[in-house]
Amino acid sequence: MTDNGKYQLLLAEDDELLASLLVYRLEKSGYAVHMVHDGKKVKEYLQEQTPDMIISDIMMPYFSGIELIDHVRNVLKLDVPVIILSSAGNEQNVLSAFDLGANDFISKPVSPSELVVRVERELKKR
Amino acid sequence: MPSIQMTPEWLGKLTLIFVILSGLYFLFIFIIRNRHTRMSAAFAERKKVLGPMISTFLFYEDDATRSEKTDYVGLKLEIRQLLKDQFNRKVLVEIFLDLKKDISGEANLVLSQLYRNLGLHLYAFDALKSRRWVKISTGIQELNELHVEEGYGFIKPFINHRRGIIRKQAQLAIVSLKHEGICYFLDSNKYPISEWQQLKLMDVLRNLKDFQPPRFRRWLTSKNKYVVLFALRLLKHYKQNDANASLIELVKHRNDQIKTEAIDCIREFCVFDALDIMKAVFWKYSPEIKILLLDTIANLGTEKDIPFLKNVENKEISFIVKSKAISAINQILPGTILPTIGIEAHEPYCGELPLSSNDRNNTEAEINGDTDKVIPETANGQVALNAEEEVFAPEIGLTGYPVSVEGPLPYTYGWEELLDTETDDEVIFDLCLMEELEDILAQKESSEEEEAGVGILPLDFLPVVTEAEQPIEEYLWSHSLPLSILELETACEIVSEEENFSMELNRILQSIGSPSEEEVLTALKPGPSTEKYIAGEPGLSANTQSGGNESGAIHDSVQLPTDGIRAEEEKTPPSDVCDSDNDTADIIFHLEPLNGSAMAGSSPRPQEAPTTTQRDYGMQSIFYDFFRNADEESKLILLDEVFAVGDSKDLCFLDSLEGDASRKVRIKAARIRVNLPKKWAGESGTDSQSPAFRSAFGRTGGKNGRLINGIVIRPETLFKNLQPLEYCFLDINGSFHDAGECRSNTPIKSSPNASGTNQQQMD
Repeated sequence: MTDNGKYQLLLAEDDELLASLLVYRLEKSGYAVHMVHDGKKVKEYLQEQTPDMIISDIMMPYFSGIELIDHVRNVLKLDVPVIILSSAGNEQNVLSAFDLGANDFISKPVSPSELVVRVERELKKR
Repeated sequence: MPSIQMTPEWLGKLTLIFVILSGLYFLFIFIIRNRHTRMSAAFAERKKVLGPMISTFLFYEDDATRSEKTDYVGLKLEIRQLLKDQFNRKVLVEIFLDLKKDISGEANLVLSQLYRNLGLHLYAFDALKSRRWVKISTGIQELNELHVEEGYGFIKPFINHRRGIIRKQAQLAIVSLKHEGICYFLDSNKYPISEWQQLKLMDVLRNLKDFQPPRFRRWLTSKNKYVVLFALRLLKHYKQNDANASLIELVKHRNDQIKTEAIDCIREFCVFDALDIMKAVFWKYSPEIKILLLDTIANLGTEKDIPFLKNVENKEISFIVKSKAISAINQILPGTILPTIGIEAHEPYCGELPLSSNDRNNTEAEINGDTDKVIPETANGQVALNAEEEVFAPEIGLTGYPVSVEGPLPYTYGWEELLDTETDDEVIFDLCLMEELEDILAQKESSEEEEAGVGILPLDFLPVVTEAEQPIEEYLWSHSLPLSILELETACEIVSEEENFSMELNRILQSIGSPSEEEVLTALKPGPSTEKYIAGEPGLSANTQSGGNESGAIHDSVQLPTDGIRAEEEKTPPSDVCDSDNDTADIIFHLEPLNGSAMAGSSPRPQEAPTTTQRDYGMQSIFYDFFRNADEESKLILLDEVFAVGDSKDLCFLDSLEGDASRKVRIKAARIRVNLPKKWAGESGTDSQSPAFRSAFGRTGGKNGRLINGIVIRPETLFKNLQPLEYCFLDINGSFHDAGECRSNTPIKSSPNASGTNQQQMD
């Protein structure tokens, strides 16, 4: 949670245009979103802060979404909900993500409204 | 031809020119690359600016606040100003195209609407008027991807553009923008449609929402063979089976691709009417088409088509086509043509067991449990088997093996012929199985015959005893033979080994003063002679007291002192001998009351009654079951165990062994019967109070002793004078191994007379 009572979300997406669009949509729904575009920056951010939720693309530079989940669950030992963004036909990676502890999965092309609903649902679970 | 003088000056000029050109080339590449990099950076930078603006437009809602609405209107004005710049338009269009691929749902629809609202489609229409094919192609692609239906009319003319890339973009756009686009395309297309393009068009059609495909048979008459081909594929894809007549006609098309697709459609839609035309055109076509035709005939054909297929099989030169014709015949009528090449000739298999005919009949009848059933044999002696009737033999562990069957099989193999096929694993397995089956059946037969008491091979040398022993006096009585035969002197006696042993034993016992074997046996045996005697034949009873105990052996006549015995019996009341409270004692000493009553002249008891009761009580012994199936040697060993662990119930059991077939067993049983109470008395220390003692001698303790066939036996005397079983193993001369330790203090007085009669009385 941020100081103004908003949930702090971390969005890891290498496509800046899509990321900015999703950030805009999530912020419009009342979340505080921190956007990063590669795995290195995700790691750096997680060393400093612990978000309420992580939304990550699977295919990212330096550090894939699968490795990010593994890092979060097994290294940082964080119980943060993780939603995975992946293109269609990438079922094997999605299954691996779920094995490592991902909470949800959204396939691309992404519906921004659907993403907001899933984020709300995951946060309500906690 | 002018010669070039390769002087150093000339070489230097050439090198200088090459260096300058290389420098210019690298400078050009550097400038182009720099410009591209700057453009890309500017593009990305502009995207970062315009991207949020597009997001604002995308997610703007009517219920926004006043400030939001103000911002929205301000952004719209700003973006319109930006659109006047070509670069910004390019960036915006690229943003729209990227987002179109990355987002879905309502935002995707809003994006297309925003594209039109911003008037970007007008720039795309203008691009279609360009002379540059790149611009035209990009314009068509924009309108297609952002789904600007207004561009349909502008794009239509490009479907027959001379440049292929524009044509293909236009075809995809036409089909995608409106549902009737496919009809327009098929009607007006003049150029070939590549396979890849057909796949892409079908993919576009598949992704159209609420698409109602037209009847594609309309284009089966197109002059463009590619349109016909594409229409046939669309027919098959959308399962439109309303073009049978056209399909039949297309089988005769010149183009092999169209023929192939038409035949596929015929097979897919089961157009039976096409069979005749397919057979008619068959011989004119290539082998590939022939195979397709035969495959279709195999699927749709009936028995009427068999002659045609056989004709193909006989006349066709191509091996593949011929094989396909055979395959088609077998598909229509399975099993019509069987493989003939590479098949070895064999006699029919009948599954005969490798047994002789008698053995087969016997064993199979036994296993079947149906001895009345006769398994038929073939002419050459083989058993005819019926594989459908499998009978199992669970009793001998042959569950699962079919052992008996009936009725001939269509194929019959002789056993010898099976042996010839040494390489056939199945035959070898059958051989092994049959051998094991023979062994198991033979074992079963032998075990059953042993149990039934019928002598078989290993015991055939032994005498077969099938009836109960009959005393010789009964035999003589029943056959009215002269009694004088018993008085004949024996000139030469054939003595068996057992009798020799018995004689030796008696001689040894007499030498030490112990009761003889016969006396011991007689003391325990309720001989039928007693009742005969009661019936009025005293002489016979006396003469045959010990006779007839062993079949096949002739003994000297034995005369018992009946008068003295009778006197003793009269003095001894039965109640003193047999304790009425003790059932066992009552059973064991059933003979004494019987004899006593006989002496008193009362009516005799039935002969079998005491024996039956004795056997019933003997069955309570733990040794009864062991003795049932034991041989002689085992019985002797078991008797030792009886002596070691026996109790009162075993006395009855020992009594029941009087009728045992083996003489050794009878003798040993009698001896143990006598010595067992002594053993118990020695163990308990009080002779008269031990249960075994009471069991043997009654509640009174046997003060008066027992009258056993004329011998009064008092327990204290019996135990005092009887020697342990070790006496059975004395030297043949009757001397003890250690006479000083084993000799009894009061030896039994024996007075054998000339006739061999022993009268012993224990003091």
